[in-house]
Amino acid sequence: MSDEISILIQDRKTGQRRNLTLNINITGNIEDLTKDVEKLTEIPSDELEVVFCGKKLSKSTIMRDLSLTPATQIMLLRPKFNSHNENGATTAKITTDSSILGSFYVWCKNCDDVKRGKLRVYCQKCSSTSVLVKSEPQNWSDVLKSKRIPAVCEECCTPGLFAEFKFKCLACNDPAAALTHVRGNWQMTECCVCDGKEKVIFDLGCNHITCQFCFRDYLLSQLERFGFVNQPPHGFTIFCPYPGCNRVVQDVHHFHIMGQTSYSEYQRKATERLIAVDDKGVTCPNVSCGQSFFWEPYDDDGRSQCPDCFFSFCRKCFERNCVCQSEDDLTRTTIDATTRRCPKCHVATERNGGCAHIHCTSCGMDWCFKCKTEWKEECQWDHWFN
Amino acid sequence: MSTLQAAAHGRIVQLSRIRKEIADLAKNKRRFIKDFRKIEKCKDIFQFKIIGDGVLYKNMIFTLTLDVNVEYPFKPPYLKFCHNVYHPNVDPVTCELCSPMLLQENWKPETTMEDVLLNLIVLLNEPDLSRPVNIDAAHDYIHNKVEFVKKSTELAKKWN
Repeated sequence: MSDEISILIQDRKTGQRRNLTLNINITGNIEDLTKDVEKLTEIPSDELEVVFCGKKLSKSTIMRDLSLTPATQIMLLRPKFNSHNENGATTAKITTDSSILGSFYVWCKNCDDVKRGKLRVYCQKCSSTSVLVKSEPQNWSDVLKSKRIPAVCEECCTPGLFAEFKFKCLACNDPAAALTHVRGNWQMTECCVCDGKEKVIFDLGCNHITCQFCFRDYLLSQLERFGFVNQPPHGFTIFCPYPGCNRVVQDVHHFHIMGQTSYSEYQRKATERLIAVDDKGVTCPNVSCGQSFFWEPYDDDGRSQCPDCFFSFCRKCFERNCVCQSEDDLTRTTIDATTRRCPKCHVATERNGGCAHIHCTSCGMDWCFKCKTEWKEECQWDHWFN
Repeated sequence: MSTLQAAAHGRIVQLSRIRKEIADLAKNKRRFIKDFRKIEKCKDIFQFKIIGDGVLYKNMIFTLTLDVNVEYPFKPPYLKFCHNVYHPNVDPVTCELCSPMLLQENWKPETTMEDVLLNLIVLLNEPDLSRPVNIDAAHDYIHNKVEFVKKSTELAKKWN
């Protein structure tokens, strides 16, 4: 089988730059590629270095492993000074298993599904793909955060540059979000929930393997009563499905597998909870609105106006015309007796019966309504029934 | 994945989990469980007997039903006594066991039926007082232990 690829040749010896389109055998290797180029350009194949995803590729790399698409461009670099020993040492040092380039999974917005992804490297400054990285990415942080890997760009030749990594969907070539907890089931381990052996699994780093279908069902069942908890800096997230395991999903992009409708519901509910928890969060009391927003503390006269329906109201009593001053002692006594703020997340809580033991549905804390502190053994003995 | 596919997958998971867990129960042969059987043809409702141990319920027999509802293992099952039990975590009206493990917010899909039964044994001996459903029993357990022991053993003996 044959594929057409785009090649950029940088000849540092003669100062030439050339763009070629070449038919290659996808089952061949890098050495075959350089020999084909030699026929067209008369540059000796042993002087050419093939650069892809910011790395020199070993001559034994198979073309198929690179996940090439019509949009891919490969750079062939001919250095100014050629030394066989030096090249040999360099090549041996940088040689890696390039099949790792295809082992990522991404959420593709275009495909609306979990897809295999590929990693691409760009220049931080000019976004060129003619980039040579100075060290290998070692972990997820190296590719997800900026300014981690120094690089040399053949286009703009500016010193002090960093590589910029992006993920793309293998199926449709769109930019996509990396799913760090999704991986291939290399050992064919059974899913802890359904005992099935799926190819694609969720692993939160704790080795409790869940297949993507069970993880999806798990997320949907938790969404039904919003079992997500706020875990800064990850936001509203969820624990591992295994009992007793405290690992959480660290990137909310994983929740896209619930489907667009459910993901939107997750976002709405998480936002509402965040506003309920924050002292500056308020919900519009207009019956036809229900919008939530944050008010800003400058020029504060105790009133707010909803940005959606422009209803103006007093934030304390939620009335258009303030009735705070006419509040009688009995009302204040009732409010003091029946309402508290959670000592951990400060969500407003009303007690309408039962014992003094409160379980906060927002942050999961058990606390004592009388003490306003965490539920202790003395609270259990002394405050339970009153 | 369409809604129909998702529902089908949920049912497949449920059936395979129930089949596996019943096989595990039979294989492990826990001495405190006996007569574990299905009582409804079209529903996954099981009945079994528990032999109590510890101080309070030594060698007493309790009959319970375990309702593995349609969304198991993503939703917790229901555990219900077939008779009255004087216990802080057993509802005096419905006889349903209210265990922290069986709350939706605490439930994890990888918890098994055997875990639930083991938790039941622990609860019988050591009631969880943080969320009682039988207030009288909880009150007696804290302030009048003798009365609690008397009432609970009397009621347990009644069904043996």
